[in-house]
Order: sequence, then C-alpha cells, then structure tokens
Amino acid sequence: MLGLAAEWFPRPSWPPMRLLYSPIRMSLGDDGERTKALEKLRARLVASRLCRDEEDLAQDVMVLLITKYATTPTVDLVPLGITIAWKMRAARWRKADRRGENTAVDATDVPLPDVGPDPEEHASMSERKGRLLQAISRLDGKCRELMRLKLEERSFPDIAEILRAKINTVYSWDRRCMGRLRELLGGSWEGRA
Amino acid sequence: MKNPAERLLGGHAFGTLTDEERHELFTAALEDQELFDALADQEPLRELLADRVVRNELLDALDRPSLVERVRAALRRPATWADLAAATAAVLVVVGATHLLWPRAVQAPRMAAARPALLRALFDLPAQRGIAADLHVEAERITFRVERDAQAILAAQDRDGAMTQVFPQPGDVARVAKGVTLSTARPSGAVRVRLVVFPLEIDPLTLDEGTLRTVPHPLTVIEWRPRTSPGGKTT
Repeated sequence: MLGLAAEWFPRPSWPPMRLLYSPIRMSLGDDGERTKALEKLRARLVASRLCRDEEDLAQDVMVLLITKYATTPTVDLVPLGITIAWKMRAARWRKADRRGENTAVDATDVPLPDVGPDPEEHASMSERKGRLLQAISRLDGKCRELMRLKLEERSFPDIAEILRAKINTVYSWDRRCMGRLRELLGGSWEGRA
Repeated sequence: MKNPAERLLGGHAFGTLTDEERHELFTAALEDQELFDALADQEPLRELLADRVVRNELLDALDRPSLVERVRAALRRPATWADLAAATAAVLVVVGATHLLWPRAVQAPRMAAARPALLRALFDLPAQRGIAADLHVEAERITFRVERDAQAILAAQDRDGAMTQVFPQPGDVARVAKGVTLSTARPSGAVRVRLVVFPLEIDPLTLDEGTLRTVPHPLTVIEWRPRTSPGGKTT
C-alpha cells in the first residue's frame, strides 16, 4: 500500500503540500479491496476519453477521492470518480476559456459534486435539459412507458413486475430505448451531434 | 452486447439500479475500459436526471400524449356529429378538387394530337383570313400570334409529305391568348408550315376531316414555304 502511495504521491518538497501528504498516506492504509479498486479506477481514468489531453486530471481525481472521499463505499468510487473527472474537466475548460490559456487547476479549486452550478454550467444544463425534454417527448409506446417508470425511480425488477415481463426482456427494452433516446439527442448524451 | 453489465447502463443514468446491480456494473466497469467509457459518456445525462426538478419536468412531458398517441386516441374514441361533418367536408373538398383537376388530366392525351386525316384536311384548306394572325418561320424556331383569343393548330410537312403537329404540344390545349407570341422548335426538314386559327368556341382537336367542313368560315389559314434563291438554295 505504501509503495502505491509513494508511486502516486511522492513526498512534496513544498512544506504546505506536506500537510496534504499525511492524510493521503493515512487514508491508503485501508483494506486491499479498496486499494485495488483505486488502482483500477486510476488506470481506467487515464485510458478514458475523459482524460484525453488532460494528463494530470486522473491524478487530481485520485487526490480528491483519497483525501475528501476516504469514507465513501468502495462500490461508489467509480461513479464518483467519473463525476469528479467531468466536473474538473469542465471547470478547466471554462477557466482556460476565460483566461485564454490552458492552465492547470489546483485540486482545491475544483467544485465538488455538492456545489451548485455556476452561471455557465447552469446555462449549459438548461440547454441540455431543453434538448432532453424534446427528445424524451418524442418517444412513444414501450419506450415512453419505460422512461416514465424509470423517472418514477422504479428499479428494473419493479418494472418487470409492472409490465409483466421477464427482467431480461426489460433490460433489452431499456437498452433499445436508451439507444433511441440517444439517437433523438443527436447521437450524444451531451445532446449535440 | 460485449459486456453483460452494459444492460445496466440505462438504470445507472436514471439512478434506479438496485445495490446488486450497482455492484455488478461498477465492478465490471473497473475491468472493462469500453464499459467505463460508456459510463463516463452518460455522465451529462445522469447529472441532469439527478435534478429532481428536471425529472418532474420530464415526467410532465411524458404525461402529455405524443403525436402518435393523440392520433391513436382520436381514432379510438366514438365518432361524433362533428367528426361526421368534418369527414363530409373532407369528401366534398376531395370531390371538388377532383372535378377541377381531373378534366385536364384525362383530356390532355385526347387533345394532344389531331388525327393524321385532320392534318391532311388542314393542309388542303385554301388560304383565308378570319382572325388576324402572324406566322414567322426561322431556321430553328417557329413563332406565331393571334390578335383575338382563339384556338390554333400549327402543322408541318417534310419533303416526304409526312405531316406533324407542331402546336399544341402533347398535353397542351389549342387555345391561344390574344396578343401572346408563341414560339416552338421548327421540325427538321419542314418544307411547309401551316397555321390554322379557329374561333375560340371551336376546339380543333375534337374535329375530324368531315366535321372540319362544317366549321363556319372564314378561318385563318397561313402557310409558310421556304423561298428558293436564284442559286437553288432554300431559306
């Protein structure tokens, strides 16, 4: 474990950063399952499209996961890591746009998932919401019903019971309907072609 | 589906996975880069759907019937007097439109060409001037005009004596408006061009050589033949 920590987080020379160093080392002293999950998550992030052209993004995500989300259940590390990576990347782009440069962002500057959207993010969300509303209202038949049940927070087993179908049939419908929805959004979940 | 856990992607975006499904999906995503990327691609959707207000708006949108559902519902409900009136109006519109458009469509082929016997009879008519008209034949084109609304046939004869109707073209009517100059391509080898103008009330395309004789005269019959130059050249 300490070997992993030393590889990811070598002891910083700047004294204030050493304050951050200790909790990282301490947080890594957990069970092996979490450490393996973190290692794999880092590898997935580095290889993902999210971190393309953003060399240190994966590293910054890992720092946040280890320092601020040390108590998050291991199973939630993947969605949390993805959410943080998206937000960090968006924040970097916006910052680079504003400044006209592509400077690195300190991990502590990055808005955490529980921070409300800034005006730019709000505008982007409202645009995406408009597209999603338009796309989802064009669905019909089984897809419309399925989306309605999912928006009502029904799980797949519940949906299978309501629609009197086998759960694998519901999974197939959902896959097809999500494909249709994505198509109506222009082939991307961001809502642009 | 490359990874069985892909079936759970749609549930993750909507936040409806059970604990077991979540565990299966995220564990698989750690092992499979493609699945991880698919999960990451969905993040903008998941982020939107995590907002309660957005979810309610989407539910509202889904509660409003889609176009297909509205049509189906309209077809399923019992018919009313208003439906009967609308259907009757639609039938009347269709019948009216058919009456306006159909005659042209069916009569056009009949009016497209005079019979060869009539063409021969037209070439046999003596020159006469009822309605004022002009005929000009050039190397490539033939133009003519009439000074009153009338009906006209323009025919050409080649060296072998074969006759063709130059005007009206197939699908056209013989009616010609006053003062409008009409132009058409001159048939190759035409050595004789004849314009016959009839009063407006007589449709020449319905005539035959017998009924042509009963048409009150004078008609207008103008003929063009190439002039032969002293050298024997024709113009």
